[in-house]
Amino acid sequence: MKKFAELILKFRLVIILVTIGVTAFLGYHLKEIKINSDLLSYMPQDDPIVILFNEVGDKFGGNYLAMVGLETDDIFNYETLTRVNEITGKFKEMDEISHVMSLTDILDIKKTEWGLEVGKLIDKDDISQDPEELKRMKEYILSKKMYRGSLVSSDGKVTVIIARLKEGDDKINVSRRMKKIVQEIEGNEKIYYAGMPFQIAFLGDLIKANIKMFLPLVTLLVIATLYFSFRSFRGVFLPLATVLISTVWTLGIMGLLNIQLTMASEILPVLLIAIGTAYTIHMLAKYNEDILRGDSKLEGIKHALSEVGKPIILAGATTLIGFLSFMSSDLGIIREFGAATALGVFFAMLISATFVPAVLSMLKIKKVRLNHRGIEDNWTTRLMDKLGYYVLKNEKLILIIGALIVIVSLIAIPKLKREVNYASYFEKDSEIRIAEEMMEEKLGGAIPVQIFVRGNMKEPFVLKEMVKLEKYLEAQLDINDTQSIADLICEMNWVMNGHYTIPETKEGVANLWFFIEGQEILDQLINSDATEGVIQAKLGSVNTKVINRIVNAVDNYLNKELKTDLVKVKISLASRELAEELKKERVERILSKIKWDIKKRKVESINLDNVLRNAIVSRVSDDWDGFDNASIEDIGIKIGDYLDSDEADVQIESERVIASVVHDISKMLKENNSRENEVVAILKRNIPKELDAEETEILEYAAESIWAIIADEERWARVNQLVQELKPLLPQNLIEDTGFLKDLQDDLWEINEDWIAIDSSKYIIFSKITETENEAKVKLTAEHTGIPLIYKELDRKIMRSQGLGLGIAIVLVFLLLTLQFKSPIGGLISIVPIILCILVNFILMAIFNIPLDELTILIGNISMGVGIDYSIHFISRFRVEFAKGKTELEALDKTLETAGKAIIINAMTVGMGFLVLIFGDIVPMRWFGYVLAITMITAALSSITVLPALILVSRSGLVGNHDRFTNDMGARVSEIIKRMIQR
Amino acid sequence: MKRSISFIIIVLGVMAFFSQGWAVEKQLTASQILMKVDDVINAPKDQDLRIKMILIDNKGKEKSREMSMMQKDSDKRMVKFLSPADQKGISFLSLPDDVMYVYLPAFKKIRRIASHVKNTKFAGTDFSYEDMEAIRYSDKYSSELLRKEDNHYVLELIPKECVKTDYSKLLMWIRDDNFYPTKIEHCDKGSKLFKIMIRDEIVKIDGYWISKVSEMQDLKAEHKTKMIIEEVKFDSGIPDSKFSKRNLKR
Repeated sequence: MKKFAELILKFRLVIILVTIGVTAFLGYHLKEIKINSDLLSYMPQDDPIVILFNEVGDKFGGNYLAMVGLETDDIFNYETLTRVNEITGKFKEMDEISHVMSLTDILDIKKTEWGLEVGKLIDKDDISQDPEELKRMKEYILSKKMYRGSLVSSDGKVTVIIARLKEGDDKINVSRRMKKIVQEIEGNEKIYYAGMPFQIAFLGDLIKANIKMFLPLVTLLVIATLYFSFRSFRGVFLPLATVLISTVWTLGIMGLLNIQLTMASEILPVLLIAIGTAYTIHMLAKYNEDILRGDSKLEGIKHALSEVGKPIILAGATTLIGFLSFMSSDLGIIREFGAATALGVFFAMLISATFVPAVLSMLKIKKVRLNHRGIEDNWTTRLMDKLGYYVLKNEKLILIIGALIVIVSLIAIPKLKREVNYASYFEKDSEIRIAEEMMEEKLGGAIPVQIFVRGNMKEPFVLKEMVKLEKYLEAQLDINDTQSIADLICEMNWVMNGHYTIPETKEGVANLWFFIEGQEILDQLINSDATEGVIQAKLGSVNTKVINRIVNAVDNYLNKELKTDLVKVKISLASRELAEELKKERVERILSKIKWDIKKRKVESINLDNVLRNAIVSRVSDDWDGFDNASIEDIGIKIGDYLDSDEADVQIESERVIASVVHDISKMLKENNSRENEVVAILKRNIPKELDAEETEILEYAAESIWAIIADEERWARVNQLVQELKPLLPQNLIEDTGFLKDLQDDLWEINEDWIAIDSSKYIIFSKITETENEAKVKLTAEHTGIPLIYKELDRKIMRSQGLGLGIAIVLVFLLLTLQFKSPIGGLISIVPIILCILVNFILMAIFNIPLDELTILIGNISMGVGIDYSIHFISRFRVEFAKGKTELEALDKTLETAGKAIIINAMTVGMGFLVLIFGDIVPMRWFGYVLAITMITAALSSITVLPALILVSRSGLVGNHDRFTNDMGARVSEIIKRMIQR
Repeated sequence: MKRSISFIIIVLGVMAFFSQGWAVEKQLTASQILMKVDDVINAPKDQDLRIKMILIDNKGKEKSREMSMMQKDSDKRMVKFLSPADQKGISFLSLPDDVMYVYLPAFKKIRRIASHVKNTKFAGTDFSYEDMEAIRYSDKYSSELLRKEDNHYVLELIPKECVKTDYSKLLMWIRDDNFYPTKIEHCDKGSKLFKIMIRDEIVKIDGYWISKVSEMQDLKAEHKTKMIIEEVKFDSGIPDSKFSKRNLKR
């Protein structure tokens, strides 16, 4: 150590110049440091969850949704819609945006009196100014589930423009440009910015602003503290220079290596400045002491370096361990934070051991008078005296309190709240939080949930499974607005055929598909081969508990309920036993759908299962009572209309002939003896005989058309009859809910279908799978992805980081101190106070409902690294005093008076430094500031109370020869233990 | 009588000769060129085509569909899909005044489709319903001759007021020998180029000019569609009754 000191002094000029040079160089690179506020990037990119998430993002146009909400009294007015249109248009021109969806740019499938329309909801080139038409538009849009509550709030006051950002581009930059676009298009609407890209940008801005505010604040605080301690320029300048230089070096290196500042490492400057001064302070204090004792300048430096060197290195080493333990984390941001802070601590140590003595040797000797008399009278000294007296009398009580803390923490730790999501980072009244809440309240939320489905998207039974899954999702409260290709097909089917279901045949799906083929929205729902698709939904809450519940519910369904290996069969062609099984299967499918439709409406789920099951089973068992007279009349009119139109396959001029055909068909229906052949016969009978061969064929065409009309009517009649039968079994509020009745009808439509899919494992009980025209395998898989899942995984990783990192730190520090004190008990005793203090920290977090997040997770290790120094100082001093021949009580008393006081002052200084963080705008940062500040104080308190109590009780050899202890506490304790064992 | 006819023919011939010469010297005006384009592309009385569409996505993946198309005048058209198998039989009927019907064989149902589907894509191709229409450009667009290059006139077409279209501007390259358009650039409402149509293999069949291969490229979607005319019959005298709902189903 002495040699090192001489070396430093020999090369002092070089050291100073090199330090300044390096500082200038790295200072220059400070400007390269970037802020990464993208939570998703905090996850390891090779994690399967992240890989799937990115894959789905790549395939379907991007995972990042930026939403711009416009609010006004009634958004259905020319100005607002024009503004929406202009913003939409400008967004679409941006290369970084893959899709934009808004009222003025969305596919609409519309049923009209006379047919159908597949086109844009609002013609962007012809936005109406007519109040009447706008009113009609509003009514139509708010009547459709597709738009109400997702694109327009149900009160018609808010509409949202949703932009999907391509993967890979700089989200902060893109969202800034989007904001600028919105601001440039003037209007009176209130604007909201929601969704991840805006949140990332907002958080990034906050971090930047906060760092700019913290740096001067914490620096001022340190200057003040240093001034009151040393009352000299150098006393302020040297420690300050140390921390500033080490901070510049650390951040400069981060900039150089392109390591970005994150939610975790943003506190690095504050942390380094708060804890880094200690090393120089020790150096200076010792130097002053030596000078006072009469050393020459150089001798003093040499002395100080060689004597203080060791404790500084020890304290520094434990701090390094505390931070380096973060390297065990799965999370890059935690590892980077650990490494960077450790580096900063190391620099602070290095600079206090090289640059500081070098500068000191250049400065004139300045005798600093330490007023011993004065100090002894001040309040801290008196406090220490009292505390010492108390500790020495009540060591037993202190240990009992310690034990209590352990017990309470066992209860408290599992109760710790966890929070990993953007919204919770912002203050309740911040722009982002307000937007988020508006989205939750009015538009179903802003957090996307996705289910990635692999399977033939044109296969009816894959689509049917998707519909079922969507019904399940919507039954989970907080999941809103599910959307997939299956919905578009259902929507088309509704327009074509009147029921919102998936057609049972592939041709049916293909026919409907024809209309939506090539529509822009498809790129967000399926891949180009239609072999993969995604179900998009929104989560209506940012509460971590809700997120976890939803993730579990979704995973549960995908793992247990989803059918992935199906065989589809025609019931009409199945064996009797198989047909029975298929019908059972069908009833269960229908029942689950109805159940979820009920649950979605938050109706108390009375156990309807059996009642409904019985009712449906009795109806499904084939028998059909036939049409009633009113229906027959209806069908007659429809057939008459058909025969009269130019759609009719056979051209009949005579109204009399038509009437007679209708009459005969009605008769056939009344007799409940409907067959297609019979229709052909009726036509042949009624239509004049002058038909040539070609026209007989025409009669068959016509019969086919008429039969289609009858068959369709029969299906409706069956479903409606069942609906009527089920109604009395359902709660009143459901019966009055037309939306529910429509869903019920659609759910029940399945009773008309001949095709049904069954688990292949069930199927093979009845028959071998042969893949014929009437039977085919259907396979699909579904994986859960989306932001809630990422949040949950991030949360899990954070918890793991906490456990593992802290464990490693404790073990390493224990080993280091054991080696240092050459006593395992000594090692143990020195870490107990800090462990207690960390437990207290958890208890406080549980009591005050402070969540564990990316920042508060760091507290354990930081307290370990910084707080352990207090134990080290305390024990070192105690050993010195004890070695002087004092009794253990005298030695403790002296230690408390000197080291104890220093510890308290130091803890208060560092704690004050951390308190700066409570002025920050980011919620976790504020919590972090509070908790860390308190933890510093508890660390100090526990090392001056628990530590002496432990020393007295354990009679550990770490402080010297305990045989010299006069206190008989240890003997008494061992006596008690003995007695307990005997009992 | 005979003489007067031959006299008229001579006069007309002389007038034609002079006007031709005049035109060559004085240059045709933009609207004259556009009228000629309309005359050339709308020349056949009726046409019966078999068309193959090849859809090519940004990764070069191809999908194809085949259809038959009958057209009479510029406002009667019947399109029937022949492949892919699961869409076989889907048919469209377009009648005057924007009346359009579709037939879906899987449901045996005919439905009328609204006219304002125009700006949406036709059957997943890059041709919109508007592009598929047989139109007279001179009715909808006012034109300006920008330049002449490589034996082509280059016209700029701006939609006339009150015309509803998805395009704000077209640039049309027109062969100066037969007035057949070979390339049309379509600009969107933001005046940004977004679709390019190229007509290739322009041949004369039964006295009419026709492009056997045309390609429409959507720049924003990075997608293109090739339309290949596989069979063509002109002026076969298709009766009006062919363009009926009844015929949609067959």
